[in-house]
Amino acid sequence: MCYYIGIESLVVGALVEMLQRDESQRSVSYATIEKYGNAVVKVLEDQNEEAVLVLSRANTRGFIMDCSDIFHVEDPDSPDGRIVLREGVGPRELARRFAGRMPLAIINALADERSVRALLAA
Amino acid sequence: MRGPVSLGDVATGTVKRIKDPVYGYIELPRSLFDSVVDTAEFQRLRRIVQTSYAPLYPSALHNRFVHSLGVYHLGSMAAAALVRSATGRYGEKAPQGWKDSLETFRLACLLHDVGHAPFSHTGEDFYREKGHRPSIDDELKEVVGDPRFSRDASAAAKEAAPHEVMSALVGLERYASVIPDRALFARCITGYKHAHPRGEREYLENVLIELLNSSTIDVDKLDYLIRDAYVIGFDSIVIDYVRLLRGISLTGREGHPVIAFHKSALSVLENVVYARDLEKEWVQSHPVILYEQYLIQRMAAVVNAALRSDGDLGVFCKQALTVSGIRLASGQTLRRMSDDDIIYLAKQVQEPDESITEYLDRGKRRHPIWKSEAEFRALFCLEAAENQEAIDALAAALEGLSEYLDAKGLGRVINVKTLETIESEMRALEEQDAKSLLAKERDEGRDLQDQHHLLRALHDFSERREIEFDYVLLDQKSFKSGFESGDLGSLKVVFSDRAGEPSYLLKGLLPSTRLAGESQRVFYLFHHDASQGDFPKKELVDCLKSVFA
Repeated sequence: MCYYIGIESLVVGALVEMLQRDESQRSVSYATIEKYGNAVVKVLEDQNEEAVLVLSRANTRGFIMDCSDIFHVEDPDSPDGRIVLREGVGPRELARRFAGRMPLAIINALADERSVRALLAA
Repeated sequence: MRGPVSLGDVATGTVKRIKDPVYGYIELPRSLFDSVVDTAEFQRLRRIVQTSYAPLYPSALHNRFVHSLGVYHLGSMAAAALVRSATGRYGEKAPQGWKDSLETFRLACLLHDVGHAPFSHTGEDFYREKGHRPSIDDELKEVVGDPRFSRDASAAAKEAAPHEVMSALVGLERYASVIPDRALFARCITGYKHAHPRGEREYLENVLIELLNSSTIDVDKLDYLIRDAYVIGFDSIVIDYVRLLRGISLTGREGHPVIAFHKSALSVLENVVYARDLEKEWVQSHPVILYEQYLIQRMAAVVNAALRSDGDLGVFCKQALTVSGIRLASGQTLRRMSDDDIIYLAKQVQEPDESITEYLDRGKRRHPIWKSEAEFRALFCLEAAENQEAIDALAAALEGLSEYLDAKGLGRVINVKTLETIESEMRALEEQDAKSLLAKERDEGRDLQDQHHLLRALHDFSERREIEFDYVLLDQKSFKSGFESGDLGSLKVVFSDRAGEPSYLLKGLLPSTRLAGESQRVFYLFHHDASQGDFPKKELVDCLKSVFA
């Protein structure tokens, strides 16, 4: 089996972890998402699971369009772009909206301490 | 750049004519045959099918080779119209290098698909799979070697499709000696325009880029719309491409040049949008074709995973398109990869996936239980007023399940295994001690319960009716007309042949015939028995509608 990890899982995983530590951390950069994603893939690979990141710009734009009620993007077409959580949305709302579609293995890899360490260090 | 081909050119042998059922004759300089058309990389396109329409329209066997020649033909006509307009605008003072730009554009038209993966768009997603090799986007930037191209590519609002990036890459590496302007060649194929044009020539280059790759009307779309309609026998709309392309001109009275269409082309512009809508709504969105694409995608994924030579390189990569090729785990070498290779390799997979069996044996395929968006809406949505909440919950559960299956890489099959997977996740969640916030929500939230509820209902229904619990769930965004596109309205129209006359936005000229619609999804369920007259469709629909009632 091969897990396909999309931008939505990474953004949600990253923001949930960051917000739980510091409520003011309401945005995550593309670069950080990619580093976090690579760590998540490594965690799954260490469990002998195959995993692939699906992070094309088309997917990112589609995700932002579909979820424009809770996210917006600063500097969207630049490599320095950041995905920002709109005011009033907290980690619980994020989890409620997205967790229901994520396989458990991905959920656990997103919260794995090695992934979170890579996220916070980025 | 060459002017229009004359009979004398043909007689003296400097030009060759190819008979084409759509355009009559396509004329190319003889030198292009040696340098491009007859090369192995370009001939490979003969074995890449243009569409996946054949299960519905068996004559749709045309390929990327004839399409590429068609795009070259239309591109040459568009270039000739631009030359006429540019002569009116600049006289003898056309920007320096303009001829090279036109020649580059024509080559880009010819080579715009040279990097296409087998089965056209179906295999191309693998080109961007995140692995350990450099991304094709970074590779193209390096091959072009122009920082301004790199910057515009990184910042472009619309990312080029994987096959476009690959075509630019293969084109530049294989045909470097005949391409006058590398950066423009890559820009024309990928659609990356100059974000901040410097000087008149770069504005003109943006016009050329738009002629080959735009979100509205370009010579690539024009050829596939005309050619696809021809091969499937869908002849309700005639596109007068000669009138359209002769109507191309340059406008921009005080500013820099931009592309415009002459008023005489207005009716054709509208027909192009109608033709695109018809193909999209009634052909591309047909569930039989969606299912064919699903099978090919699964088959390609199975081949890619089974025959990787190592962890780094899948079958779908640039090297596999070349003469040197790649070495597969099986010891075979894969060169100039085409559709036939993937079918051959699929037959070699030790434990064939059911997608391979179904692709090769049509009798084993599942059939759509409802066969159009209209039927889906009639069955599920028309009486929704009194039952809207249940229908919304059903749609949310189907959407969540689709995303879950995609993330899990399971394909879209709904059967006992899917039910067991969901139930085993539910048990694992229950047993897991320390739960993250996401895991807690997955455990306690409504989504997982709803997906399970839905699967259980389908399982019980199948058992009750003594049919196999074995479905495929596919979905797509609801059809949206090209008339709703903002880009279409931004096309410019001129009402006079004279240079310097004002242009007008198309938006104010052609009334849109349709209202903007919600982007709701349409879902299809497929089952082996669905083609039989006594399949309990109504009962199944009622069952699904009652799941969340």
